[in-house]
Amino acid sequence: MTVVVVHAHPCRESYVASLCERVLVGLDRGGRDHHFIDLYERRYDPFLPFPIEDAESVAVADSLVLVHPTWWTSQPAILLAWLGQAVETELPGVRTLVTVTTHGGSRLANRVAGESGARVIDRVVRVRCAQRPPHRRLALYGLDRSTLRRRVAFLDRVESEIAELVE
Amino acid sequence: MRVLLVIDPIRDDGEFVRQIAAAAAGGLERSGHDVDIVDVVARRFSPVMSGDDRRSYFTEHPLTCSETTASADLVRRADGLVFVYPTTLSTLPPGLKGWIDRVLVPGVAFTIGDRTGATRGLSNIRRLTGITIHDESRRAVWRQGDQGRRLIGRNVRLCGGLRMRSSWIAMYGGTSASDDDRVRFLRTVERRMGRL
Repeated sequence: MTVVVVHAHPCRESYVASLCERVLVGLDRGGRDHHFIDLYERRYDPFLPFPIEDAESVAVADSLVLVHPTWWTSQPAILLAWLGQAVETELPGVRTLVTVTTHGGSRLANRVAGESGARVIDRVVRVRCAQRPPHRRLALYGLDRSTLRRRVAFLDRVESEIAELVE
Repeated sequence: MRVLLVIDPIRDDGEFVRQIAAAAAGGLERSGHDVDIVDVVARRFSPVMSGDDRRSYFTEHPLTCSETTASADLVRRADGLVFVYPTTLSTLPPGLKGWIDRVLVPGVAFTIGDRTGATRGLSNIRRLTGITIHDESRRAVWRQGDQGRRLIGRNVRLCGGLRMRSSWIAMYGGTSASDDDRVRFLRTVERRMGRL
């Protein structure tokens, strides 16, 4: 059983890409095998059939980690497309479901605007996992006006939480 | 009033989504409104925000290509905005979400100030409407929530001015709907859009 990590940010120099690196470091620290899917790097095309390689890896995954920016309170379109294809058949083994994400706006602003992305995972994707895992959400709010210190602290937190979560 | 219809006919029932859009356009035109239509599938609009898009996002020129610029011009000229789509994963289909990600950028839907955070930018839009088809029954949708409606009714709505009025038209139980149900729904759409 492996951990599937899905990354969905177009820019390598982005903060989200750094978060993703720390997720992978956390997994190594926990000594876990992982299958890494970088949707942009791989030029995933929403209009083509689901890649067989991805279908095989989610079928045997015990953990699914989604790393993405939050745009319009939700996942980027490329990740919504991938998720839609991934959960077309029920995911049998997933016991740990984690989101690592950033929000430009504050927690309050996102609450008012509906947090639709978190709810898509909580209420739809989670239910498509046979084991109904809890959804662990690691989110940094107010990224647009954050300090370097907060961003660094969140990177450290993500690495250590991931190392513990998937043990 | 000038109304922009953004439609995403993805999936097998794509034809039905286009029929709904045509019914909405018919109702609007009969009441003397002008209608523009963006069909994200027919236009082969890419839903994937590119590295260029993202790097330009917070600059003076966030629209990096002709497909997003053309759509943004239509949004700026519009007085009404209507989304037509089948609900997928309880939310917007990727094609429509991608259109929102790439077209409703700073300078079009909102502006970001250094101190103020985001401020509304869709003040030209007086009417906001969502028209959607759910596969599931009304009860199932109620249970799992309607994230597409939340995204449009809250997040997009918050970019509009205080005068903006919004409305919602939905068909439930799409998978078990008969032809009669569909025709009835088309009539409802036409009637309600005619009254906009």
